[in-house]
Amino acid sequence: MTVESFAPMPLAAPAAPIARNRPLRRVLASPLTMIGLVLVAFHLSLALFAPLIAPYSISAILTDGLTPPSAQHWLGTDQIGRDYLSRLMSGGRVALLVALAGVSGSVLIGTFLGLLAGYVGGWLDDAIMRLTDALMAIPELLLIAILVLTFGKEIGSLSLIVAIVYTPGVVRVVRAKTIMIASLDFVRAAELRGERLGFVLMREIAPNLLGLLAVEFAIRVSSAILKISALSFLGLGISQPTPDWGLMVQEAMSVVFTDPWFLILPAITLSSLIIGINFAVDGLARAYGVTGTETDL
Amino acid sequence: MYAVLALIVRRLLLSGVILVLVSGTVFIGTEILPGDALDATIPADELMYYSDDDLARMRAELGLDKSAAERFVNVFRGLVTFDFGVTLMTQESVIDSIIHPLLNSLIMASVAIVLTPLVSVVLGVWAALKPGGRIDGAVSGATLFAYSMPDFVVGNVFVIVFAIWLGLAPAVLMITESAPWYQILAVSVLPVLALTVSGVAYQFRLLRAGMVEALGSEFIERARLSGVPEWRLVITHALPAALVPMLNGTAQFVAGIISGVVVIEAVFKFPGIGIELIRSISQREVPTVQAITFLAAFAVIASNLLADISILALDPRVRRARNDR
Repeated sequence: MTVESFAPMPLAAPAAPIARNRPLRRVLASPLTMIGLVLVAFHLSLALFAPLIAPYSISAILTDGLTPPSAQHWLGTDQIGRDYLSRLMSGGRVALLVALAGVSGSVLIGTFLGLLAGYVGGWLDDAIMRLTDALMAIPELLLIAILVLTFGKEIGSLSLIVAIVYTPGVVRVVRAKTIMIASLDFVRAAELRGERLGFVLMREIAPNLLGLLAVEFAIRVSSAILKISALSFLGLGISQPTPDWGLMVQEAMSVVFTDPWFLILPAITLSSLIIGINFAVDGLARAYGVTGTETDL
Repeated sequence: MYAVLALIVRRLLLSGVILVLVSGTVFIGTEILPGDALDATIPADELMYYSDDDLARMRAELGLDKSAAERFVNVFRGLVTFDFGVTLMTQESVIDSIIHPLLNSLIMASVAIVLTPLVSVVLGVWAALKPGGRIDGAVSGATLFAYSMPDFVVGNVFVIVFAIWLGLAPAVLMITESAPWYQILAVSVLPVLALTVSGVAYQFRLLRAGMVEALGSEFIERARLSGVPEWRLVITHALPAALVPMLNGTAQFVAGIISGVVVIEAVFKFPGIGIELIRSISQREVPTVQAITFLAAFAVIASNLLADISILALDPRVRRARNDR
């Protein structure tokens, strides 16, 4: 359904690569976007390979309590005597996994509901949107916290909770864009051909949402990581012995007067992951001209 | 005028409907699954000292033996009439037990809610005077950076810098729940600053987008051609229109402040509603959790309603538009 497929072939062939490369070149030229992409790549590989490259096991007790950095333990050991560098390397894995799994779910459900609400309209639209409003009226962190109370805080439960909490935002954005696309000529043409509802939604409208959904996915993953870490920081989320940056910041607060580095290091790793995602999304969305996201970040 | 009134009444009714749905959500979120307050408060090794009759009697006293539908009607009736009942374990009134922390948090949050838009507007106007210029780039980059910092990291950085390195403020607040308001206000300086960082980052980005759009529109071009100086163009002509996207984001802004309050209170040990919420969640004190969550949603909905009404006052196009969003 793109414009290119209607263009005469001999003209399209030389023109297409240049047109397609321009946004990519703009991405490569922007230092902030490049910093973001490098940080994201670094964190993804760290999360994948941390257990392989970490010098020690995350749960092995190696010293009597907290020790300063040394040749054996580059960043020292924590209050229980576990190697801090190894724990720091693994500290983002659970939050990242929960955010990726949960937000994938919310993008799938949210797109489905948003397409229906925006295209079908009527009472279905009203019902979906009022439920969305109600869920979004409860501050995200509070909603996550009360859902943890019922569902528990295992990885599966946390992913489910993230999926529930982030669905309404996706519904809103997808619905707005669907209403816009549904008024365009190619959708009218499909309706006049007598295509079925599923065909119009999945083959005509959904492909035009891909850019928006990619941006939504990334923004919400970064937000979900923040919320899950905040929950661990409050002592309501991921708990010992799993290493988690939010939890590590909380534990380090009791020794912040004598050893502030125990607090600063997980704070830096967590912030750099979020900053990386946000800078990368900001640059990519601008380069590819994706608009209509919730925050237009 | 009549049309505007009808719009306001419509929004008011809609807010009522949403509030009803919120109380349903809060109930489902806190009560529908097995495992009740009794299981959570009696340690496993003490459970053997209670007979089944004892447990059943205690459940009945707490109202935990009723069916989900019955409990829903009770909770629902309580929430929408702002009667939050009594706490499960100590049987004291929920509102009495949370009123002091609630007021303390309100003092802190209201300073942040007034301060944040002011700072955002100053930064937004400053950046918009030369879109794409050096100041614009610096402020935009800095706010994206601030937007990405977790609240609890910002709070802890403030503790390290202001309390430990500079020694300007105490790191942990030594203040009681029922301290008078001026003492609460005095210790709120660092928490409020920490709260404003992410709020400003969010609002600035919305305001800047609105500014860029407004400055490119025809009514500004017309004013520019008739010789209005650039600074007046930005402040008196573009700013009112540019405030609309920011005001549209009010619900998310207030919700963000409330989430931030919970985290920031935990950082500074501020005796407020956030600490109360964390305590009641870990003790499974369900009526208190329900009351706090419901009040939070009420604050979000009410401020959103106020923002909608301000938009009607600011933007003549919305008043004339037939379909409301």
